[in-house]
Amino acid sequence: MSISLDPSSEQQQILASVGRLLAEQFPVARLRGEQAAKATPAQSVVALAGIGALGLGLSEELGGAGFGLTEDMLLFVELGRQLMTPAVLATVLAARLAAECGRQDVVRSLLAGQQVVGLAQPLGPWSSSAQEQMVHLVDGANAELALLWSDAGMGLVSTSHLRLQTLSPMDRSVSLHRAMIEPAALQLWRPADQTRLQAQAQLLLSAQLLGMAQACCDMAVAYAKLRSQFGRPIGSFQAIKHRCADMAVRVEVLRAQLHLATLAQTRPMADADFQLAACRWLAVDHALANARSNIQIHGGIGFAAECDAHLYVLRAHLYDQLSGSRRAEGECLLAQRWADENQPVPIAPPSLTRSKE
Amino acid sequence: MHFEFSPDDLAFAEQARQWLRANKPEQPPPHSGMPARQFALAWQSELHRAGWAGLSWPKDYGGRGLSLERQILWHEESVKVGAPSPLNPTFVSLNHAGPTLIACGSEEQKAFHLPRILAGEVIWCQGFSEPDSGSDLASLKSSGRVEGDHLVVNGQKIWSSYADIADYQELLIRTEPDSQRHKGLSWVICDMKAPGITVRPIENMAGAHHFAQVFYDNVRIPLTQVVGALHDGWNVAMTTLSFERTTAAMALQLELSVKAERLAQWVLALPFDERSAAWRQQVAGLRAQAAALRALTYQSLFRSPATAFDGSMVRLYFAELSQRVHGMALELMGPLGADAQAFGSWTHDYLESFSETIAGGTAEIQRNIIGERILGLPRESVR
Repeated sequence: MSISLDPSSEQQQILASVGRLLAEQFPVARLRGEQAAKATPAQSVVALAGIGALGLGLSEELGGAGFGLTEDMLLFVELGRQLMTPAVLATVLAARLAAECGRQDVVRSLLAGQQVVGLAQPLGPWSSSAQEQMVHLVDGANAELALLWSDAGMGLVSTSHLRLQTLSPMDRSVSLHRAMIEPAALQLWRPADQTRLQAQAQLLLSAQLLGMAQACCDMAVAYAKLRSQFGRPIGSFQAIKHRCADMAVRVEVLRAQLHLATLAQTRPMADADFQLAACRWLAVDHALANARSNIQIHGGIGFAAECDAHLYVLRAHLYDQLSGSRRAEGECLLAQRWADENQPVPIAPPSLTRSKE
Repeated sequence: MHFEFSPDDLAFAEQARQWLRANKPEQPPPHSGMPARQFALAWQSELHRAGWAGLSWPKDYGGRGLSLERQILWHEESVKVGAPSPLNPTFVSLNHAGPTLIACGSEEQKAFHLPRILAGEVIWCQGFSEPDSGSDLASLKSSGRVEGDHLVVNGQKIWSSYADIADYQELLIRTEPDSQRHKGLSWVICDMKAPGITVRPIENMAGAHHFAQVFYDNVRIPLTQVVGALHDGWNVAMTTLSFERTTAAMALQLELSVKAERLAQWVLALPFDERSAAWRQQVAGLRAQAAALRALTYQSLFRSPATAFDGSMVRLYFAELSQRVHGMALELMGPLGADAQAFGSWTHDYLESFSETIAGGTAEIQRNIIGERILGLPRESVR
């Protein structure tokens, strides 16, 4: 058997058990209302460390579970569904970074949940030669470390000496701070041209977006069956049904592309970069579209803060910006060659606008 | 999760590539009429002579019985070298009627028709839709009255592609008088040369004449031409439609990917300004969607066990993406697009793409199927 884009039965079993556990311990409702203040990133990181989830894709020598990027990707779909803190992504990436840098001690303490890692996003192009640069730190308020995710590379920095300026986040389920980071202060650093970490980060981020798109579809469909107006469930009306169908198609489309992009990374295939760029574009677009549709299908209650629906919109916007916006992604996607040498030479309209020049 | 072709598969692809390069017709296929018939039959007999016919058909019926992987590789190679698209006048015979006969036909029906289909000797058309029975196919009224060992057919069919150049038709008619909906229908092989048949070609919005209305005035069809059991035509028709989601659709999707790639090349060649920046974003999105269409198809084709209504998702996504890609092309052409000949067949293909969300189940019907059959949403109360 040579082609299958569906997880194996073993993979499905792992996912189902992790999914159940997450749904029990981390219902999305924890992120709104009075409970919200009690849900800390550290809780999530420690709980996931407890079940060995943080090192799922790392080798056993490193203290991981010995699976690979594929299993990590599948795990992150489940994490996305429950809107787990971005600190989990940062911690998993930090462990992978530490492993690449040969720092087994750091890997071990991260996988054990002894240190929590926030996610630092530079607000401009990162330059290793600059003095200090401004970043947004997501869920890093009480974290020991921050993962710097930049176009130029990935780094790990201690938060102890950072002066944090508290901001008011659009996504109120995370904390947001402004800080200055000096390249010289980075404890670990891998430049982009020497690592696949960026690609892995994009993949895991896309996986979370798929989980979110799926969760929104599930929520909307369940509500459409439950909610009755004009004497019948609103899901019987085509205006609602078709919206739900579109949500389901987006989920399947994104899942297919995510799985193919993952396989392209692990093989790796010649068009791995293209498949990933396509995946990332779809992930943000489809997660946002589903989050919006979910609110519309819920109607008035969907607009209320006491409903989970809006949390997915907020998080989708956060993730859109995390590694460059869709605009940057679009440029990246265009620049990728479709790695198919046998492709016929494009029949281009000879100079679209040049004739007007 | 895995994605790899075996060395043998790749050797097969190489063999296919070599042959296709050496033998594919240089001229683009004519759109309609006898030229379209001759072109399609010539290409099919060429494939047959070289052993490339019926790749998905079982060996017992003259096919190659190839694995899904190899069928896909064949279609990928065909698209890459620009070989004729499978959406040509032989589509119904190879992808609808043939597989239906294999699944439900009598030994005599198979022995007579299958070799002729494979060898590129005959064209088939479809006779399902009627003027008053489009999305609601089960309401069809064209009738076949049993008279001795014949059916006497009266009524009309519409949107029958290539009926004007076809030898046979897969005809769905009501054979049990006063039967309701799905009951009492029969799937019949209709000889298009039989007395009493009138074909009126219909010009479509692209100016092409590949579909037609067909009238039946006391057309006598021997009962031996009924496929499956008499009055069990609905089940046979559902078998037919299930074959629409074959690997042949893969070729159409790949053609669309190649088109999206062309758009990418176009916008990349433009000087960077505000207007082209917006286009770049749109084309980048189309490129991502075309990539995903391929992944979606792989996911659906190789799903085990197969999921019943996945095909509706692929069909819907393909149809609407096709319209977006062609629409984008037209936008990029700007005023030059007013000249229908300016950019090869782009303008024609754009106009043809309007049919994608109508033929073979409208986008609305596909969404109903997805909503009701996959998501389990309640049906809208009808009547």
